[in-house]
Amino acid sequence: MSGVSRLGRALLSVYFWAFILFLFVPLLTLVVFAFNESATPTLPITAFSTHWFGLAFGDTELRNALLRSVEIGALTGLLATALGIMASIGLSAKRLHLRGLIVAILLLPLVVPYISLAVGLLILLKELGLQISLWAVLLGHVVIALPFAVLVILPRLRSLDPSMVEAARDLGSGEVTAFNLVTLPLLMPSLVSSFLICFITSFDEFAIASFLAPSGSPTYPVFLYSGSRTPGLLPELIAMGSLIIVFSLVIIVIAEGGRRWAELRLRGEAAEDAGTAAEPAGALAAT
Amino acid sequence: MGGEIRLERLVKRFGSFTAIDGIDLTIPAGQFFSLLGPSGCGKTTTLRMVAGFEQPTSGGVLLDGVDMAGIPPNKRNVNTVFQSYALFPHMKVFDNVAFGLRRAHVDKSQVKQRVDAALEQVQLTALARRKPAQLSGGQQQRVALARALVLQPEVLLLDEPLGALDAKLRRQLQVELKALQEQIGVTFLYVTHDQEEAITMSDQVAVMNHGRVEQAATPREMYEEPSTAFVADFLGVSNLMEAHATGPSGPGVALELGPGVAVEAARGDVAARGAVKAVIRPERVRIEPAGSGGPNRVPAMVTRSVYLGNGVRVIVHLASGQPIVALVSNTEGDAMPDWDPGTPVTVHLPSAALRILPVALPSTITEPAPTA
Amino acid sequence: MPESVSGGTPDRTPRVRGVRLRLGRGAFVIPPLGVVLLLLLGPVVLLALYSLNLRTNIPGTPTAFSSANWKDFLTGTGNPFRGRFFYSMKITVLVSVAVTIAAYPLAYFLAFVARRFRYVLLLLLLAPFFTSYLLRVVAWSDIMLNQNGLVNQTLWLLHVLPHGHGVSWLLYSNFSIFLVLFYSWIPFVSLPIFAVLENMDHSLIEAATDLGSNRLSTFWRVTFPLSLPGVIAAFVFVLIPTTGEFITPLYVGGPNNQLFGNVIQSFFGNSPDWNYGAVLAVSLIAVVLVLMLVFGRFLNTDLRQGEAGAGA
Repeated sequence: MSGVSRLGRALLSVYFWAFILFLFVPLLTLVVFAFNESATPTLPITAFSTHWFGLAFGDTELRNALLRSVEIGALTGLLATALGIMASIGLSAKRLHLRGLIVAILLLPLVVPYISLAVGLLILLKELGLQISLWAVLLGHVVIALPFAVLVILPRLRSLDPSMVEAARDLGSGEVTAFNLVTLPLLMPSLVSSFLICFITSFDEFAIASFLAPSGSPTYPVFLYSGSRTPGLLPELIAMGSLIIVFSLVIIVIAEGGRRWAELRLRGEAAEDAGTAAEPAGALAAT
Repeated sequence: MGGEIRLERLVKRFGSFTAIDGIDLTIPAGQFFSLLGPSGCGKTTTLRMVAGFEQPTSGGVLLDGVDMAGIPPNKRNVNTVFQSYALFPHMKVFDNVAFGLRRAHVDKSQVKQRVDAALEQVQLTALARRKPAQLSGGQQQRVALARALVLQPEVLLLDEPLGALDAKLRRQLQVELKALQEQIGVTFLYVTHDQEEAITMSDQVAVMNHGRVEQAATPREMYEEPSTAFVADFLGVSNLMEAHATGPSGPGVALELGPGVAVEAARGDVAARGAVKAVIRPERVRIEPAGSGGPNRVPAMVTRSVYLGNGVRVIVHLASGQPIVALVSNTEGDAMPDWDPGTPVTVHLPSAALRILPVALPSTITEPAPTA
Repeated sequence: MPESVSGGTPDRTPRVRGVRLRLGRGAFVIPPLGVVLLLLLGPVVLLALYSLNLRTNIPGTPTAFSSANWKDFLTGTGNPFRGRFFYSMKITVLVSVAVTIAAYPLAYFLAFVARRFRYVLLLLLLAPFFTSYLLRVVAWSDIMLNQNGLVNQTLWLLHVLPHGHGVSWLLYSNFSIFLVLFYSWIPFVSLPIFAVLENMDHSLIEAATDLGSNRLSTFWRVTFPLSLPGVIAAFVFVLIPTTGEFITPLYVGGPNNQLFGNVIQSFFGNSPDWNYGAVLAVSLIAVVLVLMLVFGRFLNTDLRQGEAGAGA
């Protein structure tokens, strides 16, 4: 349609699919070797076994590290999304002093190198006389996740017809009620996306966690690092890792599917026509 | 039944920009009242101040004598039909219409009754379970109407509600809206830039320009007796002519339209002398064969004629160069003269149709001293 | 700018201790702003102070303004950290260029060849990016590239190399760092290029063809130049985060392949000379800021605009 030659199309297709292969093979290997009976992930595959999964779930340290990451991730998701909503509301005000500067500051965590931020937070804790803790990790994660929340929520908020909130107020609701009944439901898809993105950002974050998590309470990424240096731990980590990989892929598919479903639901079933059959006979209602 | 709106010395500034430059206007209760004007004239800003979405910089908005200052929109007995309809897309039609009633904590059975009645009134009963995205533009507009009216406000504000609809549907809904207003008796404050809409629907019209009201009157008064050149030109088409008023002549004033062109004007400010502006509507201008005699007849030449179907628009030029547009109704059918360019004709400007515009704009208020 | 309401109408703007307060919706921005100021700018300021020796982590050490550490890092002859910095930047730029070039045909494929399924295939391309970064690195370091890893196994299977003799530079080398970084960023980088190609006015291409241009010429003279903003955005999207990269070298880098981020890490872990480390940390931030200033205008500035202004 845009004039790519037959040969060009073939070459580009090969190139694309080769890259897809390149991208997915390492992920595949994690899944494949998770079921490998042998303790070292090499060919040939000796036997099919699920005992690494059992070991992984039985390993309390691994489990605890995972739980810590899930907890911190969920809290990061909630807090960052809440702050993201606030930032979006504030940025959608008609007139805002120093709007450009505020946006720049809110998006700053996107560019600051996490290693510099991590050591900076370490210094901050020291100066405030505080010990390193998982709370500190949480706060660090909220800061780095916040820009993503804003980038997801703000455009969605902006796309809403401002007259709708005015209509709600016109019809008798206060500002807060109007927000809860009109704005929030319509924002919901973006809030879910924001939560997921912030969760993932926190769950996979290594730099800040490596400096601020106490040595006895590592998060999953920190545990993964020290564990991967230990040959004995490797199969368990691979098993757990394969689950995480599959889980994230499933989440992506669900999220995309869910997003499309939400759009459809928001606009009513597209299949139903604009009521020609149900139209009253009167000429006045005819369109 | 209340619903009278009074705007007193109303001024609205956004930073350094003055959107409303001083308005004094009374909108009587129970009327279909239009605010008419071009984009940017301030009509929507005025509407929003009545609704409560903007606060006046100075001056007052009074509903039935009560000053609305500081009263938020949700507490005013005024409801709005928005230009974009602003229906809640995630709620069914029924819930959209019920929204205001639920905010007022009306009990459930009452809610159902009133919503059903409102939907019946706009003929959408069958669509109550649909979502707005499944409705056509015209149907959405009705929902917006029902949603506002179900609350039984004293005043209904409509912000160019028919703008997004095609011409045929628009005409249909104009008739419906007018009938609805007459039926329920609520004051309708209607904003539009479409002068035909304003003329056909309104009891009274206020023409706005640059934040001021140029004239407020019934459609007929405004059309026949525009008080400014702007109003004359905004409502329908006018021929605007510079002239020199010399002295009384019969019931009116003697005018010189150009060297040797003398006519009599019997309407408007006939006491004015000197340089004046005269207007005459194209449909009142008569094209007669060249050489016709009689008062107020001027020789002219056809420059262009445009066939309109229901008439012909003939553009002629006087010897002085003054162009005059005439609208000749299609009463003769095939027997209409051709009026090719270059045809000499006589233009008859009946004195009863020739109006002298008042020299000064009837001023609404004097500007209050700046406060901030 | 407080709006005054005069003419006999009561002033209802809320007052706080006599000062007229107009908290519009804009005030909602304060909590998130506070969080960033405290938890981002705070640490950065502290880093700056430490780098200038105005504060220190070693108790009992006197603190006074001193730019000695800065001088040493920036101008000291043969400063190893400076050397490591340039090495880092070299790798960073190489990776960024390579990734951007490699991603272009992928984006082009999606936008022009895979018309009907392009969004599904885009999702397929992006999916790996949304799985755990660390796990992907582990896959390379412990399954693919290691001595008995898949790559070597495959080479043995194909008899390219005698069994047991692996390619030594597969792991803990410049190659491994380059490869893993390249691998990580390819999906993400395709996105801005795809977006630009997708939104391009295709009638321009048709016009070029209509005027007699052949396919290659059309691409080179119309499509590619118009897609440059996306290409530059993609380049910046890789460049900026990669300057601070230090995780990948931990897994797949040898002692000679550590990046600048690792150097910073060492100053705060093993030998706690926080003052010198702060110099390095601040330098890294400064470099990123400079890159942002230079390239920033190519990025999406949509968020800078406020809502449509007050109208009539």
